[in-house]
Amino acid sequence: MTAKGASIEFREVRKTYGDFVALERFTMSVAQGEFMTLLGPSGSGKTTALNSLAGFVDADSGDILIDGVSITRMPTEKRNIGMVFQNYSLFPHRDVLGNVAFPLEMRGVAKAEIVRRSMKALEMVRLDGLAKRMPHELSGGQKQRVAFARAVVFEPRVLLMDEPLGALDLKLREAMQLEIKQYQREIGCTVIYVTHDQGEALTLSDRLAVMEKGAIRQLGAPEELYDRPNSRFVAEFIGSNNILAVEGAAGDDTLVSGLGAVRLSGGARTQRGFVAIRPEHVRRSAAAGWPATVRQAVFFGDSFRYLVEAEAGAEISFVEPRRAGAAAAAPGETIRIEFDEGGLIHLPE
Amino acid sequence: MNLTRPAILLLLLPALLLVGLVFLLPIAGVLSLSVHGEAGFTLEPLRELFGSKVALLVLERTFTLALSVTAICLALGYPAALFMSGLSSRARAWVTYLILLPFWISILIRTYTWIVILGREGIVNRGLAAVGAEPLQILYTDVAVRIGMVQILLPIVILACLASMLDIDRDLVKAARVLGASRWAAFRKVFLPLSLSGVATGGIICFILCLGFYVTPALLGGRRSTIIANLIDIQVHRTLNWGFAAVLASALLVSTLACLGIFRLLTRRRAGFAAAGFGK
Ligand SMILES: Nc1ncnc2c1ncn2[C@@H]1O[C@H](COP(=O)(O)OP(=O)(O)O)[C@@H](O)[C@H]1O
Ligand SMILES: [Mg+2]
Repeated sequence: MTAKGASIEFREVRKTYGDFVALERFTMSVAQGEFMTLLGPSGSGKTTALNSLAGFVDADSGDILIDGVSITRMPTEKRNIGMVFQNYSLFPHRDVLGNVAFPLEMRGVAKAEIVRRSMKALEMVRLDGLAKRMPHELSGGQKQRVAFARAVVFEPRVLLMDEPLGALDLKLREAMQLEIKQYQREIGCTVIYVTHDQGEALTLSDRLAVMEKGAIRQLGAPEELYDRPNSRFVAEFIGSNNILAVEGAAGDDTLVSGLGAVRLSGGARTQRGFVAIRPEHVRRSAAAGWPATVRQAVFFGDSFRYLVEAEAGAEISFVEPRRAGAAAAAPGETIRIEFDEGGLIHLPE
Repeated sequence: MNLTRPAILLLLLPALLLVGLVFLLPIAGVLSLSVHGEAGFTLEPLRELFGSKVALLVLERTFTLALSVTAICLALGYPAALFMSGLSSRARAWVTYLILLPFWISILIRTYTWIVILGREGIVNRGLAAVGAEPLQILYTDVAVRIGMVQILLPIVILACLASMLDIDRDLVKAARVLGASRWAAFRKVFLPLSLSGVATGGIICFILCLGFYVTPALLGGRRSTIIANLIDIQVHRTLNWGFAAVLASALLVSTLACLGIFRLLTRRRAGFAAAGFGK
């Protein structure tokens, strides 16, 4: 399989259902061969965006281009897009081979060639032994693989996946994530992947777009979104974060919050919004730092997770790796905490 | 809820008694009547059946009529159900009410209405006369019988087809489309095969109901429209040949069961995936 990916461009796509705006000024460029993820809570418009690219949804306005060519007027079946649905959507009346062969049959490929290519796709997902099984005779992970093989057997340049792992249990999901990533590298197609699982998004994506209420809130590489969220929504959606409301300013780069005055190495753009601190950027310190009372100490095997209350009232949670000989703090105990340089992020909204 | 075996039996008892007393017992009676004469066991009625050209002709006519009415109902009902399956659930509820409306009117009245419409001085012929065309002899023919029966049975076929269509996961059609199927190909390769269970259910119910039709052929048909229920009626009420009536009834029962058996054999494979694949 040597198909290379296509570039995809959404331009100001808008979709409404009655008064409800499902997609608003949706603009996004995906490079050839890129793995792009749409991440957002349920109802944020991810499926709508994907469906407008697949042709199941007619956008009210805006344009969608594949390799620079507008496809908004092209019928679904001509768009040459591979797609994996959340519930697999395998054809229940066709066996595994019949499912995988379907896209090739629709393209008028010769019979012998259909079997050869279908079996090759099934080999890739290691299901060539189950070609004659009916879909209802497969496990969830096997169905998922068949759906994947069916979506890529005709070597599409664009592959869409709408929460493809949503119905699997955690262990299987993690294994399948690695497989999907590996297949995508083999095939080289451009992927748009939809999930509401931030861990999955961070693991798989070259870049990801965080969506809320039909709009993209932030788009960037996983590290960028993790390290520099632009809003409280993104900061809370990706990873865990301590969020403190800004109550005022005490200088150009110093904001006042429920913790007291904190200095931001990046500077503060406004004097409103929030300050975010990741739990892994908080440390217990011997002398300096903010005094705080331990409220909870939860044992995690390799670490302790603390919830502490600062003197000024803010609640902060943080993680402390366990080291030999170091004693854990007990609830009620007063400790001091300090932050990594650059660990404090100002969120203007 | 887990019930013990005696509890299940106790709960089923009233229904079992009812079925046994008013259904199985009479059927056993009819079956035994067909091999019982005044002098005990006899095959005379059976001999009479296979010796009677009329009885065999009527039996054959009954099945031909049932087949053709079923075919017409499916041909009309499937597209109607397809249309309904595409409606919003609100609109679909309204259309369902409309389809069920005729059930509020007795079959007798509906059948008489066809006489008004199709008769010599009926609406159809008056319309034809108004445009200068020759009147048509529709009433008291097989055509009238078929029209009357289709009108009565069509809602059942539509609803059976609709039920199986609504069971189809719409994402399957979407999947077919995005994987390269045109509208028509997606229908033919995915939707149609998956809706066949409803076609089969609707068809078989329609077919069996056809076999027992009595009023419509009697009122709308001519001499040559007599089907088996009418013939049985004649044996019971006019010629008082109860043994022959019983044999006719048994022949109908046996051939219906045979049809069901053949149908099951033909659809077993499909039923397998349908039972396992849907409604989970
Ligand atoms: N056909 C439709 N009619 C009305 N509202 C719809 C329709 N499809 C989706 N929506 C609404 O649009 C919003 C976005 O849906 P969707 O794109 O499926 O979200 P997501 O995939 O992010 O969960 C949801 O609130 C949903 O209720
Ligand atoms: Mg969705």
